[in-house]
Amino acid sequence: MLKPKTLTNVLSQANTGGVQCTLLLNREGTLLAYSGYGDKDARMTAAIASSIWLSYEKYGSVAFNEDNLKSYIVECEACCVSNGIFKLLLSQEGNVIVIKVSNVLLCMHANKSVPLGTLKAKITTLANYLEGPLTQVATT
Amino acid sequence: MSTLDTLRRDLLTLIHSVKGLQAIVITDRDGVALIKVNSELAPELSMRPAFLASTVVTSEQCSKLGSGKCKAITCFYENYQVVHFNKNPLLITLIASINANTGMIKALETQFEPILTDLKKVVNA
Repeated sequence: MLKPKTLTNVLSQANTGGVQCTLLLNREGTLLAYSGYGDKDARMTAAIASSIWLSYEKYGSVAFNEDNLKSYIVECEACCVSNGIFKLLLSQEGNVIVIKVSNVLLCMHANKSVPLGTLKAKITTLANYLEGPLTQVATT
Repeated sequence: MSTLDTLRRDLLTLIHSVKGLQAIVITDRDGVALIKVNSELAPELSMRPAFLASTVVTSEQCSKLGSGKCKAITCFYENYQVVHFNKNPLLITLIASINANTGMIKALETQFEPILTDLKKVVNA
């Protein structure tokens, strides 16, 4: 049985040093747990992250001789609209990383100041910690 | 030597500059390969239109994550890693073994600029 409060607490431990939010979602894109701040639409992020995962998994499996997808990182740049005088910032730049844990996905959203290596190390550590309990839940 | 041959030679130099890098493919927004350079180790199916077209669609989806325009995507498989650079209207796909240095592959981004200048003219024409 999953304890939502404990799970959220565990996820919140990763939200330091520029990491804005951490999400746990299933392969269909449904949000299982979320911890973070800012006005991010977590449900939408979860849906898109899982959609990207399924796409890379499906086509990558064919392209790389049944190779399994382990993780992916998306780097985004700031999006602005300018009329010559004013510049409107539509979105901040940031990075999103997704990794597989048992049969679910773990997603982390960070701002640009977080180096990709640090982000990968953080999500791998969290994934290793959650692997055991989530596998137990998946098998029961 | 034609322009295409020069581009191919430049890309081949880039492949040899990073250990483990196996292929570089530059495609347009429809996933059609404009130029393709690979070593013997590169998996043949990864350079087929099916995979390349899927990456174009996925890179468009990434822009909807709420963090602005997608600049680059890095995928880690068990034995391979794939790096995409979104250089509108072109998409660069780099395929490497999992042991290759990801930082070095990503550092190649700036070296693509002179190569892309010629190709962008062709695509925009």
